[in-house]
Amino acid sequence: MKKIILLLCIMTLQIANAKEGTILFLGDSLTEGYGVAKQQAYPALVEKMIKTKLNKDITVINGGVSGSTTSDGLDRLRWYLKRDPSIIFVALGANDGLRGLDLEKSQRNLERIVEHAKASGAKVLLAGMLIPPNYGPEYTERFKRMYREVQKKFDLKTMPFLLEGIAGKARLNQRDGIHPNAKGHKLLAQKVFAFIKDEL
Amino acid sequence: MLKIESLKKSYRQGSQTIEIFQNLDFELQEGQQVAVMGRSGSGKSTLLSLISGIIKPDSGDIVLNGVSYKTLQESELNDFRANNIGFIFQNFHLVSYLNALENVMLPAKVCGIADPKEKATKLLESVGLSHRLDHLPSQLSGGEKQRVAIARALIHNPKIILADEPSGNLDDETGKAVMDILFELIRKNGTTLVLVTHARDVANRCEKIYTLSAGQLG
Amino acid sequence: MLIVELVYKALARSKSFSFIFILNFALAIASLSYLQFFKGSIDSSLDSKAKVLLGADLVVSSRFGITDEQIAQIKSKLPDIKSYTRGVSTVSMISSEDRGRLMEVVKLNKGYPYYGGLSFQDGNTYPGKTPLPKAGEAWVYQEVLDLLGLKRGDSVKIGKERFVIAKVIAQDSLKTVSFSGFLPKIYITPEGLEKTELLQFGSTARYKLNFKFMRDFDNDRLEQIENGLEKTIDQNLRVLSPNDGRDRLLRVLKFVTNFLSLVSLISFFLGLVGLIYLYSGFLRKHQNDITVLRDLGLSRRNLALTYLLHLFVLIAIATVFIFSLMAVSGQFIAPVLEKLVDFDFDLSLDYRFYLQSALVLLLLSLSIGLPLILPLLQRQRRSLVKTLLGFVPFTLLLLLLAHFVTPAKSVGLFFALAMLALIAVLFGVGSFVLSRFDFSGHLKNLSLSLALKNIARQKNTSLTLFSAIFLCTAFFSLIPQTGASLSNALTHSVGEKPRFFVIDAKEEQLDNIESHVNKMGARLENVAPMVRGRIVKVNGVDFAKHSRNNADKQLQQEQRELKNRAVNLSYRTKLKESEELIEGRAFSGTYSAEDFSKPVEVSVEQRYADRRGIEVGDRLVFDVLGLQIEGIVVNIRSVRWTEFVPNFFFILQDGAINDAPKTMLATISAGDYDASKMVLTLSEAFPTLTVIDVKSLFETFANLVASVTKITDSMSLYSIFIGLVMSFIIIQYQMNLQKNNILRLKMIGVDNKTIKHSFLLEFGLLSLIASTLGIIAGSIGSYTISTILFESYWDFRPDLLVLYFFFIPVLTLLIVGFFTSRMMGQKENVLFGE
Repeated sequence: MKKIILLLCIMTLQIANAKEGTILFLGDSLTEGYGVAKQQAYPALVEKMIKTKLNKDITVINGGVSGSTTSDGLDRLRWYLKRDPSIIFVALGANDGLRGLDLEKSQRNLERIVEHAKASGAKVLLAGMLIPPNYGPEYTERFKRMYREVQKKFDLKTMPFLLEGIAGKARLNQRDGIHPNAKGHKLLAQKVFAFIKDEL
Repeated sequence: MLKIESLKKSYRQGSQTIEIFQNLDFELQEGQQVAVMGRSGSGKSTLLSLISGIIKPDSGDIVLNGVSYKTLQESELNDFRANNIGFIFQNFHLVSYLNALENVMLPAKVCGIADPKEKATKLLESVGLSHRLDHLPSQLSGGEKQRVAIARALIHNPKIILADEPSGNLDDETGKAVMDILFELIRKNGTTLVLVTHARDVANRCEKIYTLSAGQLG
Repeated sequence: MLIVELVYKALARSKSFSFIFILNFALAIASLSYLQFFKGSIDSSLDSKAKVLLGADLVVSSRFGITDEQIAQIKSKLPDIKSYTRGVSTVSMISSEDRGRLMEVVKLNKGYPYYGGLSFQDGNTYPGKTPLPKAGEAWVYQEVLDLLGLKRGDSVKIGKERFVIAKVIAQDSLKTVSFSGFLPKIYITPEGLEKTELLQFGSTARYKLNFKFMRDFDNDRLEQIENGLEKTIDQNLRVLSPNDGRDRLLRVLKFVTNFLSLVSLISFFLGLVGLIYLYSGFLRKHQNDITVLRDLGLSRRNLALTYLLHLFVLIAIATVFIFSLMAVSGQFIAPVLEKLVDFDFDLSLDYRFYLQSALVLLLLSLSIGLPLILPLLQRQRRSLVKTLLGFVPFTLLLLLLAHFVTPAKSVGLFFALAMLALIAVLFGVGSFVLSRFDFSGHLKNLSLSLALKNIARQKNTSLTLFSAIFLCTAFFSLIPQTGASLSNALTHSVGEKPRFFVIDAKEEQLDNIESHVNKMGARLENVAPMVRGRIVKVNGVDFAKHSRNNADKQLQQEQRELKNRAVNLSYRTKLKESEELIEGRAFSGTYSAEDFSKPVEVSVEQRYADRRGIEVGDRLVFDVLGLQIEGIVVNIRSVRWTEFVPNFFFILQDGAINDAPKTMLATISAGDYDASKMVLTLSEAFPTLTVIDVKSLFETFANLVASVTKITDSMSLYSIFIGLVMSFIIIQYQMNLQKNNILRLKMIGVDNKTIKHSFLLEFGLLSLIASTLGIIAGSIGSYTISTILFESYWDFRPDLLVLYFFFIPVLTLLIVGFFTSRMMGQKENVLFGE
């Protein structure tokens, strides 16, 4: 069974490798595009922008899964590494914070993900997150520190806050106040594109 | 053959006691046919009930065919009645769910007479109903019903037949035809008959007519 | 005047008949009328319960602050408002010295909730006598103390402020109204919330406007207001009315009221049959009087009026009696019932109900009376067909009544039609069989011979008795079995309900989790793998497009949901016990194609399939984390509604996606263990695990089920009692018809024992066959009703069946024995001198 999937992966890999590279967005519902169509989620928009603006034929893998935490990120990373991405954009951790998990452990998970990604030879980019202030000053501060420390430890290129300028604004978000709507994703894609384009 | 000896019978009705028979004596010979007439309430039905042994006299005795009712237990009396008395009613009183043949056979079966079916068929033939054997009472006319009833009253060769207004519910012509049959069969068999009636012409067919009045037969 | 006098005399001279008649009819209508009250009261108490769960008549909620303009806009579209409050709740990390937990912080508003409220461990309630807490005080759930290791009087830090725990909440009517999941709640004052500084730009919170209106609207009206408002206001605002939260309860209740309606219909029908018997027995007795009155020159019209009036007076007395009883019991019984079944009853009186009932009863006495009375006024006998035709208005009235009494559309009508059809078939087949069977041979045994002849020759009488006993036993076995199935399914599902849902477990953690759970004295159940996926295509068509073309009407209106491709997939080898194959076939085994050349077999949940227009044989393409997999729908399966376990819309054949990254779902059984300790232990050992306490979700459900079960049980008993009364009346009537035959047989000299035996044999045979068939029919009926109508387990009750199987014939024999003896006590000389 495993062989079959591997076989299939290899087949797709061969096609993928003919291109100029693969970007993996490893994330949660924000990346998956919860509540919007997959084509409206920021990874797909970024792919389009790269193709039209930079004229580069790259493949984007949307590795976002709603509800995903840092602890299951590693598993999925292993699955996607089979497609040998050249850039890995790690946008995980929001759910750890929203669920009030122990952030020491989340930080360790995040570090292992980055280690593993780096070991594959890909370029690793880290997207930071903030947790809403209502979670209390200590916890929100500790959460912010988690990304700072991971960034420092591996000297990563980081977006300090993925949802900068989007979070908290009703017209850019869905009814739940957490997930960006199509407009929000457009803005998000522009920011991510600006952040990522120099790495290509 | 039938002997009624110083019979006394009274009813209580509320606080009143109605004396029906104070001291009735009466005797009937075998094969005799008598008519009993009398006004309503004179005690004709009570007399039939007493002779059939369904109700008991206050005192006195009835002796039928040499058997004194006094000496019999109730169940013995029932057996005795089944074997020795035949009944014919104004309202026919056929068992509604048995057909003509079965109605006629019933007394024979009760008395344990052999070949009841054969006998019943013959009897029904003799009352002119051989074509009506398997008809239910509801499918028969009044005259036919009474003819079935006559056959039923005779099948077990009873010593005596008690007939209560047998033509009372029939029109004149049918009543006459049914009475012809009844008297023909009774005379042929030599059966004793006590016939209660209002109709003078029916009573006239009997050998003797009694009138019940003030508790006496005269 | 003469008519009135005759009616009065008829009533006064036959007191025992009048009494039995009134009693019988009172029993018949009591069940029906009480059911109407019960339904009404269930509805209104559910309505008020639903309001309690919402806390207000209408709630507008949003994840963003609601602006003053929005508020003004909303208010302008609502009816007169008595009061309103602005509520806020948010989630925060609350820490004690050594641990931190997420909790829900809720702002208290004076006067809110308008319905329901809090009760504290010290016995006080809010709103009520308890004043709002001081600015530095908090009211908390017991779980807050457990999770943080605190006690009352301790202080806890929320945001930037410390609060003293002033009161511990024992019950909260708004427990299920929650910001996210089932977090324990902390209530603080508006000033307190201000000081925590939790709410600032970027904070997530739920903002609510709670409205209470001047007028007392019912929930359906509130739902209309909700729908009207939702259309015209900002997309970010959600409007809630009390009806939103009661779907599941309503569903349960729909089944129960349907069942109760059927039961009360049965009681009513049985009562009416008894009534017809009683009255035709009465008329038969009075046939001579009628003839005499006719001969005396009373017109046919006046005679008919006399007896109709007589019937109506009897019915009216019974009705007035029952209605006054209800009026009185509304005062006295309701509180007792409430205590008994823990339910608020509203047995209030509605004049419309009485008017309707009076009309129905008038029509009933006409439609029963005329076909019974008119034939007696004619000299010649009526044909059977004509007699039957006479009952057509009565039958139509019954059908109408059946239709309007049951809440679900046509259930009552179909039931009554089925009943009529069954009776027609019984009579048709029965008279055919009996005419074939017409027994003219001569058995040695006179009793048996008489009995068989009686059965075969008096066809209509036999068939009537047969049908009556058949229906009685059918109902006897149908009602308790259906009731038991229903209440069993409900209680079973309550008993088997899990206490916790566990999500986000990893496959390798399972053994560890299970050993933790087992150690606490519970079981880890319903473990299922969950793989995230998307549906790309159905039969080569883009999924969203396919849905647009094939989805049902309701889904068509939800554009966003229509485009939602995300699905959770699971895999298994076969169906669970609570699942049923509706269409298609089971999986052929483990997936084995070497190269995915063969599509994976897929099982789709029925409601999802209906909604999305997916059928057996459809080809689906899933995207499982970037890998496209083709599937073929091999079956549609239904999941029992009483089950409360994780369920998947799509289940794939084992072996196809087992290697994909997945999380595991499971449930933890309810039991005697310390629930907070369970949560603590598990979240300590497996921090990524999400453990959801679903107890409160089921609590209302379980309570309702318990009370409803009691009610169905007592209703069943009641209808059986009526059935017995009716059997008694019918047998008595039938025996009366045989009175003359008994005397005739006696006169001929057939001895008492033979006569008695013949009747015992006759009725015994009829009732034995009828009750055997009845029990079979009742069981089939209850099976059908349980599985189709109530979608629940069928509870086969052989013990009950055996009991009824013997009970009915034995009862018949006792009644027959009693009546034959009584009739044989009569002297046969009454045949003389008629």
